[in-house]
Amino acid sequence: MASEPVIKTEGLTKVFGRYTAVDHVNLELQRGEIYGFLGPNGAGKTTTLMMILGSLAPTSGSIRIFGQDLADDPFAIKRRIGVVIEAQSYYDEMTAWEYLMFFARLYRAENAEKRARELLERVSLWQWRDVVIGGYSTGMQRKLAIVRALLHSPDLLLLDEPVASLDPYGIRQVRELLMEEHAAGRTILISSHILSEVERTTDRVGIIVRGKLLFEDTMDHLRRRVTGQRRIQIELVEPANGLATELRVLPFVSNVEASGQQLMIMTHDDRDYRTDVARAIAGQGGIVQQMRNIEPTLEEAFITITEAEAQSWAGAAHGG
Amino acid sequence: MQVQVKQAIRFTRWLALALCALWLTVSVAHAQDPTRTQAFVYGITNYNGAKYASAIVPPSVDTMYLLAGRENVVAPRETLIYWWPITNEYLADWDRLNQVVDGTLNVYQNGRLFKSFPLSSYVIQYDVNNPADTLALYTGAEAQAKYEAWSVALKNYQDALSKYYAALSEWDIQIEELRKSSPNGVIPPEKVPPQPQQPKRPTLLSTNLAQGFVIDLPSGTFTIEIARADGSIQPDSRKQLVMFDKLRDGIAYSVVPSTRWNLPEQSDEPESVIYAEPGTTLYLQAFQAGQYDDYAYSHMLDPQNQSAQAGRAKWVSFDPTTQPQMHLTSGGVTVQQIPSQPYYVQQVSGGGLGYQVEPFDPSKMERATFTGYTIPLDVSGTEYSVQLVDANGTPLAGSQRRIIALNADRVWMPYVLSALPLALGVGVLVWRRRQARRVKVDE
Amino acid sequence: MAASLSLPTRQWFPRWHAINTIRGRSSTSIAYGLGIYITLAVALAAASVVLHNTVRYVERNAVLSTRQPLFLPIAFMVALVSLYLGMSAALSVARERDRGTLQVLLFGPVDETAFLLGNFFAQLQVYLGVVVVAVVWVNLVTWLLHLAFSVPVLLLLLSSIITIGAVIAFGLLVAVWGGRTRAALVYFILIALLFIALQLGQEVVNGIAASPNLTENDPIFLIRNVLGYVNLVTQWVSPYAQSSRTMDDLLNQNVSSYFFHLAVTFLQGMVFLTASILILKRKGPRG
Repeated sequence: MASEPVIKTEGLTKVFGRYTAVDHVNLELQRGEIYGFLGPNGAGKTTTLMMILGSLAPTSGSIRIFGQDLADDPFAIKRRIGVVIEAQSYYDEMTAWEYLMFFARLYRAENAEKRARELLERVSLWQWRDVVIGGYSTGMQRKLAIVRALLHSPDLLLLDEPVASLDPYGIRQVRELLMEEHAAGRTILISSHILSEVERTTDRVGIIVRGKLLFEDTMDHLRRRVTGQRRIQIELVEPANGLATELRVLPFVSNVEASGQQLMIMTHDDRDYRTDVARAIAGQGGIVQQMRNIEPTLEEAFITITEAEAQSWAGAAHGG
Repeated sequence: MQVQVKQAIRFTRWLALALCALWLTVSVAHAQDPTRTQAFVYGITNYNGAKYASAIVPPSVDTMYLLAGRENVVAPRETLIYWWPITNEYLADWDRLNQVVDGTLNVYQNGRLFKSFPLSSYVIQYDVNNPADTLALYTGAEAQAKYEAWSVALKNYQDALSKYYAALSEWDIQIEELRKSSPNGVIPPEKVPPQPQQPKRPTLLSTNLAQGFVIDLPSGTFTIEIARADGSIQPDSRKQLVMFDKLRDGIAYSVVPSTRWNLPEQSDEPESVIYAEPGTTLYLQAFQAGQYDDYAYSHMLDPQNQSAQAGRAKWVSFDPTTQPQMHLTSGGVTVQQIPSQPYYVQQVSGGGLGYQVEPFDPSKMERATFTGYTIPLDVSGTEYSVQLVDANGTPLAGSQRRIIALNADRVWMPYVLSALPLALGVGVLVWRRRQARRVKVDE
Repeated sequence: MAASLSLPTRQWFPRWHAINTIRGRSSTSIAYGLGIYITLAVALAAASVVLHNTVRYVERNAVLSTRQPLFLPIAFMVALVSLYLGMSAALSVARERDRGTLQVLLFGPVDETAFLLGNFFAQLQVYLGVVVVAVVWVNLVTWLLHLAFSVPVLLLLLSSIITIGAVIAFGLLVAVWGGRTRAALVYFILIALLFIALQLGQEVVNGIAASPNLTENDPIFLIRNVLGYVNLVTQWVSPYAQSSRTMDDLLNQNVSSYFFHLAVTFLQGMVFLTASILILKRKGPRG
């Protein structure tokens, strides 16, 4: 029997005056997955998160967290959630250690000091634990927020721009930390504009545009749905002289690009044609050194979906 | 002739000026004569805690205040009232009109008739030597009898006084004749006739017999009005009546330091503490006192009072009390029993311009300045407690006071103590700065 | 909103934990700042000035009869500290709202009730420390100057805790209603000073009106009556008015009236606290 989703929204809607910020969003976050929640600026991501966290009352619709309504037992439910929001704020006069111990006590974290030490060491903040937070750089403050969110070992992590303001080293530290938490069974929802990071870490993605959840599925399905074709990158032993022309006539090929020893073949659909391509190249006397499918990036998929929605909306707005 | 004419003219001018001035004065005086209006008023004879006092309740006053549990007199009168700006109140011209209004005083509470009082004659009498214990109000036939007895006693005294003066005159004449007939004008003692004795003045004082409603009500708020014989209600007789209780009994002291005779300090409340400089001698005069609600008491004495405010209590002092002894205790031990003594205040002449308080010596001094208790404070400064005790050894309620010699030399110390929290704060700040590093960090 | 106030029993344990945690943080933050120490020093110095005047009077006139020479100094001290703590409560809540830390707290096992009560008890905890210092100061001063220490003085200090509680609650109300930090500060100072001014003004005018040289139509009576009517209304919302009455009750040893005015003050605090919770729920963490 499938377990109940960690987060489930049904018909979630928020209207501000005449403006619909979130429009009948049906979102499901399964237990143990990493979910990327994406959308352009002003799409309704933060509003949706605020409603999930109980900070904003929905106009209509329902939200269930861990199978319960938040109002049933808000304290118990929120204790199981770790949150990092984009506009993070701190008690500037407190040291990092005091800050963490405050939240540890608030969330009744177990083995708080040991856990805090471990996490601080992981993000290279242990030696700065007795410095007041007001002296931290923005990136350090961001890492501290993530440590705070993880301190009480929550079952659910809601992270809005967790790696914003971090340098590549910091991004890696946070990524590794999150993957470990995921491996330990945590459910994670990440909302971020750094799509490369989302692509590397998430299992499923939800894309919200103009308040509507346009897509919610795995990365694989997202790529396929967006492109409807595959790309095969081939590296030959010798330059492909005239090989491109020969490959273009294959029935499943839509285009071939050649550059020295590199070939890029675009197919009409998303079936795997590597065997056929290898056979065709061999028939032309070519020797394949390396062949692999190139998937569309999340950025490409995201832009495709959002642009399509923008065009659709513009068309509707102009009556066309 | 010309000089005489000039003098006559000058005199006439001055006379004219004088007449004008006189006429102006009369005009102004006549203009200041207030307008009198006939009105119904209550003439109150109220018991103020020690004696009876008078007041009027004009139509402008809606509420009357009287002490509960004691007889007071509410006299209904038709009179002429006028506004007197000098004292800011309505006054009654009893001389021109003082007419008793007949009827029954009905007293209501919560809309129901509580009690009715008929009009009754009354008189108030007391012995001038002991007013507190002899003050009495008599009503009805007893009032009549008491008043007649007093009138008879007064008349007898006046007759005796006349006879005395007549006898004294005769005696003077006899003495004069004896002197003239005696050798060298010296009358032998055996021939001196007995001198007439002046009769003793009656010590009992009395008011005139008058008519009024003598009421004695418990504490509470009532409504009163006068029902005439025909059943109608006397206009302007409907008033609210508040009967209030004394809050506490006590003893008030007038405290005089030996160094500042002209600035006595009042100590009315038993909770008050008397602070003095070490080494000062204090003189305490004790008075019977009672605590009352300020607003009610002030309006009882003066129904037209404007300045009293609600929600406060005040102590009222009455007659001095000199009978009890004062016990002076220190550290719980009675160190002295001080009787009440008369004292004379001698002004010190010369450059010093001060006062000296001495025990009253009737042979040297005309009369005592005051009667009180002497409390000498130790130079080293300590705390005493005083209390009046009656002849049976029972302490008088509210007579206890603490007397403390203040240590003014250390008045700067509270300021030093006040700075300690600041020192603590600085210490906390320094400790915090060490505990929490304030550096700008960038990885 | 109603659910949060209907207070199911099982919610109050975690809520109380949150209140305690926030109280600890806030009170530590106040203790680490110099403000409370400066305020206390100034308040005690003001009390010392009042005491000094009393001593000077005795020096000049050789004698003084007074019921409670420490009442007025303590009243001064309490008034000054109350202004600071009320302001501190208003500022701490407004600042958390402005910088966004309130929202972070509300994402966690904290609700508006816990947040406000935590801040309330933090300020009150600080005042308990002030009371301890005040008791020590009073004891030392009475010993040094040979003043009379009495139970009413102790009762005055203890009952001031309820007055301060009401002022703190009022500061919280102003903060959630006023919004931004500067607005909260200005509103609190203006309203608190207005309450104090009304109280003092009535005392002064009553003193003037007691003069026998006034005519019936003297404007001072009109001013006194107007102030009286205004205070009749504001006494139910002004902790300072109730504090003044409590002091009178102690001086007059009016026990029932003392407890009545304490109860009214306590009720004022509860009303302010409840209103601030409801307003914060309605306005949200961002105002």
